[in-house]
Amino acid sequence: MTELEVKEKVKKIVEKNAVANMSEVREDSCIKDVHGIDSIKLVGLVGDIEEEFEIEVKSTELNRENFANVGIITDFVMKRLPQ
Amino acid sequence: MPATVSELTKERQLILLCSRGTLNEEHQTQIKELMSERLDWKEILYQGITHRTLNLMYYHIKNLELTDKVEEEVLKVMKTQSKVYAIRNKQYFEEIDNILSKLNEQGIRVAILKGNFLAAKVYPSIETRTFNDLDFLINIADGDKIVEILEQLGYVQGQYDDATGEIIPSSKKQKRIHQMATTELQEALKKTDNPFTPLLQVDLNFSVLWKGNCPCDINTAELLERVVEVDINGAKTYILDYEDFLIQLACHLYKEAALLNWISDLRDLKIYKFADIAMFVEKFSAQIKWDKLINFSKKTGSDRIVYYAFYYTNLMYGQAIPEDVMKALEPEDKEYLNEYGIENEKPAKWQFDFFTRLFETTRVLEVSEEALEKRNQFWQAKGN
Repeated sequence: MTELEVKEKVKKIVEKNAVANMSEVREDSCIKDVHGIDSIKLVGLVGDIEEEFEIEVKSTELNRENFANVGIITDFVMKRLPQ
Repeated sequence: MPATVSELTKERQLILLCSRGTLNEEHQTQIKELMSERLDWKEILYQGITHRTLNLMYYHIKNLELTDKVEEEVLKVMKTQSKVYAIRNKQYFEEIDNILSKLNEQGIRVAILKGNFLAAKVYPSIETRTFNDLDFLINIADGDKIVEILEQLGYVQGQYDDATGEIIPSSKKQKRIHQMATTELQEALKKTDNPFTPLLQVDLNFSVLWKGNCPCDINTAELLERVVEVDINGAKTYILDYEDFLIQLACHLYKEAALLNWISDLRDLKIYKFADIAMFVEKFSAQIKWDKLINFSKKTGSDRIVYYAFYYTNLMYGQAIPEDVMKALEPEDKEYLNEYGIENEKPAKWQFDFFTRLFETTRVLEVSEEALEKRNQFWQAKGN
């Protein structure tokens, strides 16, 4: 899967979990402040990421730094996908 | 509206006096005078239970040979509860030894927080500081390994069902919600055969702060780097260094006093949390480096929080914290001392003075359902 394909899928997942500005999800828009994804909703988003890309997010990786926006989430996923 | 301790009722003055760790001659005289009069023991009993200071009161009353001044049935309750907590705390200390020896074998360092250390080393007797769980500060990077070790010792991350007496293991989603919405991993529980401690609980905190509009930043790894080794009933353990320990107590006190989750359950303002600070300072006055505490709390932005805890501790116990320390920490705007619901965009302001809030359970009636929205969302999500 190319980075572009991953990014597109991540964007769709963010749109699905967003509670604000759903149609305005960009690579660098903050999923918390712009799209209203609070800590509880973030858990749902992480579950969707795991299911979509068949990866496992460890508890130590479960933080806002790794799941801040579409671009950062894409980087996180790319590092965990089989080469 | 009482503004000072001397304006409180006799019963409430007695409660505060008996929540001290050590009593000087003046305190002893005051207690004797108060107890020579007729007292409302139902008020004293309730306040002693809700503020977790009943065992300490019994300890002092016994030492001052004043037990004959207490209504017989009330005295029985005090005596029984003290015995039960002596057994409970002893079992928890044995469990600290079990857990810490396994963690030490694996080279994992955790710091023991609050009551577990205070009961062993600061309070005058093992049963005088009650607690219901073991509280560890951990590096989140060690979280999975620590949980694995606890599971080997029979613990399960989950919730206790009072109705069935069973531990319901939490799902992966529930554990994640707990981790994301709080600064702890899902608690680890273990059933025992001891009727006084049917359930052991271990709380794994990965921060001394809280989530939701927290104005400061304290790095857990930095705290764990400078822990102090202490012996708790033969177990090699660690606590935060003296200044960090005090800052942690202050942060914990403020968090629970000002966040709605604790207020709505009436777990916010408890005398023992202020007594912890007063007693810790009294015990370790020679070790505490106040300059270091002031500098670190300013650097991390926790100075206002520390001031809050120290301010009310002084209001209750006189000059527990040195005046120059209070001056160095004093913020310009002190309005926040009477605010709560800090996780919401706009905190609310208490309508009652501090002592009324401390002793009157009706304070909770001020809290609106609207303000509790975030807290309710968390519990709803965890239930799914």
